[in-house]
Amino acid sequence: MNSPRAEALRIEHLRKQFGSFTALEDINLAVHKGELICFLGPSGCGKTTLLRIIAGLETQTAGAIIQNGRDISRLPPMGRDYGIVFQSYALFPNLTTFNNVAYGLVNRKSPKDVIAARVAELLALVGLSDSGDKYPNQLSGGQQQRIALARALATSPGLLLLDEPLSALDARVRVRLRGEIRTLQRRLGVTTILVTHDQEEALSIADRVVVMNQGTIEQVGTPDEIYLDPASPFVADFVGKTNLLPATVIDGAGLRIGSLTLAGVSLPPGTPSGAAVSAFTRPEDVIVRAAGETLANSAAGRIESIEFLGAHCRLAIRVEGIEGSPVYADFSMRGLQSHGLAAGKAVRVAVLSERVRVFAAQGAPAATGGGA
Amino acid sequence: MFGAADVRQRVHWTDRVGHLALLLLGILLGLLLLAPIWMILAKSVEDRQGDFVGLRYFIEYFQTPALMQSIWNSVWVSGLVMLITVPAAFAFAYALTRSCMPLKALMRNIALIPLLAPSLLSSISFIFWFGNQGLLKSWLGGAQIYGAPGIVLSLCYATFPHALMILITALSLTDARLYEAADSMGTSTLRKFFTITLPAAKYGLISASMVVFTYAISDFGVPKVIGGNFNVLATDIFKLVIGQQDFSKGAVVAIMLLVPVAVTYVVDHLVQRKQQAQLTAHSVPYVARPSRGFDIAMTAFVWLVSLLMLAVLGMAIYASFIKLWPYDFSLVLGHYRYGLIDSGVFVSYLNSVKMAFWCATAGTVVVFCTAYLLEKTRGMDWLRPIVRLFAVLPLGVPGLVLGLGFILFFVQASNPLHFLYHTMAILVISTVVHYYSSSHLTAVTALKQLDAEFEAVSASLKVPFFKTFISVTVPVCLPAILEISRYLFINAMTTISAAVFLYSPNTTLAAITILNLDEAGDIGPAAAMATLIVVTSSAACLVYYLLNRLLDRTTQAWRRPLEQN
Repeated sequence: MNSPRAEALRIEHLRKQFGSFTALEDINLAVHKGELICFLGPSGCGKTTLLRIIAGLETQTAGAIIQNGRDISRLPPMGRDYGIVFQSYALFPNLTTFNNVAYGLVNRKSPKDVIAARVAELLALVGLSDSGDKYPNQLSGGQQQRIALARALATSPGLLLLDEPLSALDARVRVRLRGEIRTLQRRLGVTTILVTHDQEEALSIADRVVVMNQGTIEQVGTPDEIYLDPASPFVADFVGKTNLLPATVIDGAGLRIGSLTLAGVSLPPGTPSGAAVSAFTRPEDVIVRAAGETLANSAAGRIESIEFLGAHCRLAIRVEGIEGSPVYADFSMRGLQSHGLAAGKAVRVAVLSERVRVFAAQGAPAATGGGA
Repeated sequence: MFGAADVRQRVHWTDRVGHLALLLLGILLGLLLLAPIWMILAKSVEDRQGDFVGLRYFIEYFQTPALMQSIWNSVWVSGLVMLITVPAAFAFAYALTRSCMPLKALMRNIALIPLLAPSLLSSISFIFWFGNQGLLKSWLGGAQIYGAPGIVLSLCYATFPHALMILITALSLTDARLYEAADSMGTSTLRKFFTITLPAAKYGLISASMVVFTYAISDFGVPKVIGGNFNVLATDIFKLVIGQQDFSKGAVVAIMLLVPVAVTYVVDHLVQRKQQAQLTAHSVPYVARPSRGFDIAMTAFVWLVSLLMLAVLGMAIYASFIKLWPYDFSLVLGHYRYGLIDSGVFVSYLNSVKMAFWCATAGTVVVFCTAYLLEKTRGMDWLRPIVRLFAVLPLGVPGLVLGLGFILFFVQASNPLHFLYHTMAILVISTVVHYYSSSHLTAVTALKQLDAEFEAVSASLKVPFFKTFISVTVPVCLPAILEISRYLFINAMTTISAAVFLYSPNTTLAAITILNLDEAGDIGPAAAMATLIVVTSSAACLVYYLLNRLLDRTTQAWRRPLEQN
């Protein structure tokens, strides 16, 4: 886990065309040895296509894939070194759990007792030691998923590919299993690529996240980099809940959002004063107080509605001078009560200026209200 | 920017094995399908010396009123059969799917009986019922069963199960929620029938009509036995080729027969594509609710049809035991002992069983392996659509046309495959090709139900595809494989059309022997042979049923929970 780390996989200028549709455009990526990397993006962004190209199940139109210094761009799947778990698991229904896990080992003509020992070890690893003689259909979804994982790991591949491995499971099992996958991956130290459309899953288990959109990589970074410092409006919007507020640059380093004035905002270099920009802020970085309380640098607003989300709730606030959609703010239930907030109440709203991310305005109307 | 080519992946040797096998099977299928048809087209513009004569034979054909009459005869008879069979089968299917009548499974099985016998069994039976010495000849007034009436009746019997199976499927597809929605709006029964039931079954009705028409126009055994002087295209081809040895004119008539069949084939193909789009996995199956009057009416209709079916089969079996029709009605085994065994034609029955066995084994292997290579392996993408087309094309080629093409192709001494001429192998090959399409579709349907990633997982584990084929695909698809095998066995036992040109004195088949016995006036032994075929087909069905049961029991552990889904 030290930082200049050896490279397990490198993808260079990879492109994939389906007819006239470009599925992947100039993908460049280095995967470190032993890390768990997540391909995250909406459906149709190309993440599964990229995984299948790495597996050799699809062929790229251009570009190279290098695994451990070896160019594997033109190798067929049989010639590559990886284990794979599909969304459907693709367990062989007529073979027992034992024989499923042993499937790749038997082909290597290892002695029977060596295979048996290895399978026992793997079944123990995924916590299913006593299920060896069961058939896939006699197992729960979560158990099937673990058997698929054990089968993929049986031949000790240098790379583990997981294609939406948890999406067929219900929510509770999903959360438990993703923790198990993470623990197992750390223990074995196997370089792993996981494809998912679930940002929570990606943020919770990945060493690094690759956010993809429309066939391109938007950002590569650790989960907190992705969350706290999104590189593009797409990432800011796709990962976590975001307020997109039209803003105007003032005084070189400040922002005016409606009647709010923010100082000390980090602006993209070379943004002139008076430029219309988009300001992104997370709901948890919006501060709300009852109208009577004092709140520095705040604007007046009114709570439109309160959405109950379990552990916390989300306030939709109509803020003076900010047109379009309301500003969202997260509050704990306790905070809500102690500040005496309820739907319809007049409030003061402020934004943590050091947590605001600014991008060039994208299609949003320029900020209304008085300019600088 | 348009479709830049992908990087070419190196091909693993195991995949190369698959490519080679697919290529070989594709060439084989293409050769056995296209070469015969090409031979017919070529022959139709050649004279006996092999010189090119252009359209001379076509012009001669259209100037011969008797031959032209056959076209019209074929078309109107087939059309009439279609107009009788399809509504009757629809009502039958409607009763099975939408009423609460008792004994549905039994009635369905009775209606499928015609599949177990050559089509001409019904003709023989109708001769015993209504022929010159028939039991109920007086019912016809002064009319004759020989000719169009007999052909129509026999073909209605023979085509009924084909239409019925399609229509049962079509009627089972309707979503019960549509009826619930209609009920909630107080829709009348009649209106529901015309606004929900009929539109949903529309494609099934068209498809059934096409199948019945094709079957009727290509059938040869029925008009041969009961047609009398009533000529149709199928009997014309036979007379020209076998009777007059005029292959060129025979080829011209074969093309005349190929055209309407090809047209209905294309219509059916287009329709089926539409129907597939209609199918959704989330439909709620319709469950019939009791309705006294309707149920009684439906039961009465179904029992009547079933009774007629049994009367046709029963008469053929009964007659096979009658000592001397219509003078001595004592029951004896004479037709079997003297008519079949002592006369030496029993060997044709053994030949039929032998041929059916090879079709059911070798044929099934070829069909399933081809379907597997086509659907589950990667690479050689240019080849796949071509082989797919070859696989569904035989449905559009009448057996007589295929048989004539085969003989023209294999008879040439210069053909390296000439050694197959007059062998059992050529009968097996022509039968498998003739019945290829349905078998292929059964295999493809089963293969498509498997997880699409089995082969990808195998490759990632470095296991060659053929090992996964043996250890996973075949065991999981065994029910479908048995179904293909059963289908080929039954059809091989009952087929006449392609084989009638291809058998040799050493490879006569049971169904063809019926024709020859009938021609010689030995209608008693003919009935006996038809009965033997029915018994054999039924026994085969029973064996396959038991195999399936056994399979289900031994693989219960992994198959059962799957079926509950």
